[in-house]
Amino acid sequence: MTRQLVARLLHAIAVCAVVATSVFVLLQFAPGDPFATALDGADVPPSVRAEGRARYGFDLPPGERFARWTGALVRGELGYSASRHRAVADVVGDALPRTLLLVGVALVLGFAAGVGIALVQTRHHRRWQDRLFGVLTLGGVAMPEFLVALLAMTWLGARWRLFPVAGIGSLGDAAAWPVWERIVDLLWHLALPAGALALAVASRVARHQRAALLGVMREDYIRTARAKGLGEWNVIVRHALPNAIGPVIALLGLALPSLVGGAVLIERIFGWPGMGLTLFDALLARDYPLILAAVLLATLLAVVARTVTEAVAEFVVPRRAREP
Amino acid sequence: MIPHLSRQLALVLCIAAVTACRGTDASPTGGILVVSAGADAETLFPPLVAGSQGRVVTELLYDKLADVGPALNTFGDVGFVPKLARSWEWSRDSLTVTFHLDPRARWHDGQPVTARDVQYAFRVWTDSAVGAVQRAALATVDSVSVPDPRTARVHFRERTPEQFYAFTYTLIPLPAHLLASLPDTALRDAPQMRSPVGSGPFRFVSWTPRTRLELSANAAYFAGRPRVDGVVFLFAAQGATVAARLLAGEADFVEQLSPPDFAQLPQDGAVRAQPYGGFDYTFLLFNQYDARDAGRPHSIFVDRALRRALTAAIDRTTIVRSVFDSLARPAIGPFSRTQWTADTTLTGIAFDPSTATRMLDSLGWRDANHDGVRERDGRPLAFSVLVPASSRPRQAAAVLLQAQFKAVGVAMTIEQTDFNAFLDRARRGAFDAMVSGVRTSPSPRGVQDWWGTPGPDRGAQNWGRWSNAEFDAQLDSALAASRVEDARAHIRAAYQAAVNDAPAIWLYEPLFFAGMHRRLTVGALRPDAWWSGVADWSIDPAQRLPRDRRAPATP
Repeated sequence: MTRQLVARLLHAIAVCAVVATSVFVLLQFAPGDPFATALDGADVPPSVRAEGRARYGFDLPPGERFARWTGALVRGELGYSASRHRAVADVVGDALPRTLLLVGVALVLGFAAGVGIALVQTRHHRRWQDRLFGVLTLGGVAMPEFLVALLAMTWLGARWRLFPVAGIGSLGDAAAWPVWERIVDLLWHLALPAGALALAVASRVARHQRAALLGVMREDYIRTARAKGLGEWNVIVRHALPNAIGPVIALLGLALPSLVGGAVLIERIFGWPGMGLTLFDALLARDYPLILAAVLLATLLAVVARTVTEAVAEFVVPRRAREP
Repeated sequence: MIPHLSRQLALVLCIAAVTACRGTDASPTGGILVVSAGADAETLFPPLVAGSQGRVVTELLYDKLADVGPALNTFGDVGFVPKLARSWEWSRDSLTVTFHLDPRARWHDGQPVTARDVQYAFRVWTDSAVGAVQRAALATVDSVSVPDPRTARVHFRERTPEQFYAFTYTLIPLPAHLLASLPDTALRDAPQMRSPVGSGPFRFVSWTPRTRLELSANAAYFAGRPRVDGVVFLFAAQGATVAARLLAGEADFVEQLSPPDFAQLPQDGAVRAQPYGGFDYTFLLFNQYDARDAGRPHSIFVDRALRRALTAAIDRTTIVRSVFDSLARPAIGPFSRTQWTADTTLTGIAFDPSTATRMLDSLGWRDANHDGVRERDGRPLAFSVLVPASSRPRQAAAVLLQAQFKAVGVAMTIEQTDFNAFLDRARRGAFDAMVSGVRTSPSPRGVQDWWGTPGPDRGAQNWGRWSNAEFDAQLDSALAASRVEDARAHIRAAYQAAVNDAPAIWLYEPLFFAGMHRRLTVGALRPDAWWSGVADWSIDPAQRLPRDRRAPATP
């Protein structure tokens, strides 16, 4: 177990190092400048942009910049965001929890809904319920997240006013509100962005889970369970699901990076100031330290998620758990 | 030279006094003004503010000494409105302006605004260690002296018609009693920059970057408490979200509605659009030099007659109609109609495809091989146009340009790139042509930056490196003229020279429409600063919303 953990840790470090180096190198080839858009006014002389580059070390050779950046990283420093006039650690410290909350809620919602839909489809295999959810989940997989988000914002937000159009909280001094009111307000604001993200997750999970369930429904132990007189729901939930959920949990680990990627658009549309929006703004502004930090964290998140989901899958699947 | 303008100051001051001091009908109405905005402020430290949202917030937090008036005049001091300075006077040689500060003016912490704050601000703005964005605008100012705490004397190095505008429009007095103890190099990261203490009609409450910024009414504001209780800015990067907040009733005001937003406006009149002049114009810029070899003239666009022929081939009215419907006008020249120097009587190059065809034929560009593209000496009449991917109107305009050029045998390809890369290539001159846009200022000096022959004192943004001696000379004369009438005449001649020489095809000027909730009452919106009158905006007490109860707390 310890050997496995150490191996995975080393693997994670290697992946992060490769990704960080690749992104740094790619950024050198990207046209643009950290002070191009922020200081593009006609009355801003080129000397001011040059001063900015010198102040933050962007005028140094790429090799020296990379050495300085990695040196600082080892010391636990992520650098300074010139576009936000703040330390990168502070920017990330604000944004990361919001993305984790958004993605986490979307993942839980999507997983629960997807598994639930798959159970219904399996129970009513080849009947109208199965076909209806089949069409809906196919639509959910096919429809781009940004389209879902824009439709939700326009209809559920702007037209019917059921949910806030954007933002992370209502006006006012939230710190003075009771805890329950703060939680309700947060969930109310989370509904549309998390719902838009969860729709795609639920659709994918449902399609994979349905296929996995139908696969195990032909197994002998399912026939035995039915022979014991158990009801069909009981058979599916208690006997089929535990044996069919492993691959879906592993799928979640793989889905997390794409979910974080999808969060870029969702956060932009719903004004959710998380890592996705931070990365998007940083890319437009060519804020190199912030881009590197955001990519590094996303990589770390993906590696950790994969490790955790693999461990959970091993723990959940009964046959694997029983293996020596 | 300048002092004769001050003879009109008494009249101006009377008008300004009426404007500045709110009457009995301007009592507070309460309510929270919620503004939906597309971009956040990058900083709240005035010298470092480069973007428009930063300007909005800092100018609500801080007062200037004086501000341009509704006429947007930038010559002399005619029409300028007193703010922190109650009055001012010129020396006989026009090299010194003495500002008398309003003794009632206070910083938000209760300390009086003094001449030392003006002197300190000038030092900060001109210290290269601070890196003030608009430091160059103060290049003609030599120093600021303090004869007494209520008097700031500004000494200029030279007389220019816009010296007063350059100083008052750029410099915002800073609270020396709070900041002077800090080294200048530490100012940009000082905690005070994230919770500023200003002198304006609104006080800082809180700021969650990229999310929300809250201000509350300054009850002790010397010119009268703002009518609303506070202003909250809600930020969203997506244009559709910015407008959706207004349509959903979550916001009261949006700075600019886009053409698609108009189709979404509710029929019940809950949201209305109010026009105000913008300072934007867009054009197809021809690069005078080769995109790959900056030292070699461009093989196509160096020819003035060809540029004129290309201009005659473009039906700008159709482009404007197709892209904006009625929400823009064809541009006339290198200016916006909102500028006081605008001239709508210039003789332009009319759309006439038959003339364009004849001109191209006469220049030797003919379609000899009948492939639909003209050639000369075996080289096709083809070029690429750079377009920023962030601007849908410019992309749409580029597609229409492509079709219209094709009709006269010119092959145009479109290159889209993100805005940062767009600016990078523009500054390196790595393009054939580009659909570019300018947001000008009230001052005609911006014309020199965009269209003057590139050099140390002009042409910094002249990415096409167009050069015209007559244009430069007329503009120099205009910017040195002591009389507004003379300046107008020279500027007209400069504009006409630019239009005749066709360094670009002047495409369109978008019309600006602010979107606002019907409960909001605003006066005229100043084209360069819609926020300048926010302290006088009011919210109908009969149309309060639940969100008004959650007022930003006054610290």
